[in-house]
Amino acid sequence: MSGSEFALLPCNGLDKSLGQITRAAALNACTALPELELLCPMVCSQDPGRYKESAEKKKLIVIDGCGTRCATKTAAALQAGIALKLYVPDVVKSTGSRPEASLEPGPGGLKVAGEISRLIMSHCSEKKSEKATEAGIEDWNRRELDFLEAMVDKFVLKVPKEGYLFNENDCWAFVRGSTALIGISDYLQTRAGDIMYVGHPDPGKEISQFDEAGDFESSKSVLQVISPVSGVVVRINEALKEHPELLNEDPYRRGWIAELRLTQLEEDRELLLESEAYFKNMIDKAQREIAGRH
Amino acid sequence: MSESTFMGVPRERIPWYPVIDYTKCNFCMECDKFCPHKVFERNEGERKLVVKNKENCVVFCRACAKTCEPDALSFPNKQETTALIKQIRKEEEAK
Ligand code: SF4
Ligand code: SF4
Repeated sequence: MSGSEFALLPCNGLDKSLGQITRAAALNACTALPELELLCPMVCSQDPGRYKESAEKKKLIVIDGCGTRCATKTAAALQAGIALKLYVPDVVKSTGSRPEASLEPGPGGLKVAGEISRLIMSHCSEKKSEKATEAGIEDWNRRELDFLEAMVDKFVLKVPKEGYLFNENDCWAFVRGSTALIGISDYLQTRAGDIMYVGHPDPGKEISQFDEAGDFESSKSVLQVISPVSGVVVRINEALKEHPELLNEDPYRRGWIAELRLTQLEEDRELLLESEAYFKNMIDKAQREIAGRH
Repeated sequence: MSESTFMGVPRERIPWYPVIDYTKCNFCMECDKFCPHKVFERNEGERKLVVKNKENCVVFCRACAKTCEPDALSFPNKQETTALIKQIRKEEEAK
């Protein structure tokens, strides 16, 4: 097991009980994996240059204690790629333990910290099998697309003219035989801003229409991918782990998020929009959003 | 926002919005800070946070629930909501 490729950035929440769990988890993991570099969140924000080399060479593991997500925001300032992101409240839910409200973690808090460090260690030891991408996907990624385009405020928003089905939650499905690729629209990526992390749905997971099929995160916000179709996750876009920015750059092709084996496309279609209809819906939303801001 | 619709159905006919369990909520306000749609409103008094603008909530969004550490936010059943939307659409078509 080695941690040398990774650097660990915990949040700075020393004044909060969940922040103290973050701290305990980070110390556990770094003790177990001496090669795992520990970054001090304070130094990162005061003097990001100090960690320049690590930010360039290593992949970051980020632990956020609360919704402030200060570790993720610090990672954005470092311009480092996030390989794994852990959010303490999620781990609290998955372990079912109740962390104490005190600053000194008790048995409940330590259980959560233990689980977080276990997740870090298992991530560091995972053998990254370089799976050859299937030729079909490569061709799909490179297809020419014709777009409907609208200028709203200072943004040009695009929707492919054909082949894509949308839900009103700004996610698309592209049907290929018995499976569909899913992803987010240009509008959603524009709203998110620079995307730093993509959380994929788990392969094998059964998703029904409008369930969450992953999430993604920018320095501004965490947003959900709401699946336009029902199906079983057969594949995820591994490229997004290293290059989450593909979601911004090419949301309708290289930024696809997952592939689902479709289970009830005909029923799902009833609540989906084709390009023209989605295009109108999107412009409407974008304009309303701008009106609300001014 | 009364003119807004979701899949052609008037928004006010779709009961989708978060419900706060006040026995769990600790008024940390993370959900309010998170939601960009002004669904919540901060109050004086005992219930420092309420779900004020229900119809601003994006149908099928559950994002704020993730920010809630004590798990105090819940949403309606998604299947039932989908079925309801389909049913209202049928009624509207039949008119
Ligand atoms: S579900 Fe989404 S839109 Fe609704 S209140 Fe929560 S964050 Fe806001
Ligand atoms: S995030 Fe949860 S605990 Fe905090 S104010 Fe919202 S409902 Fe209450």
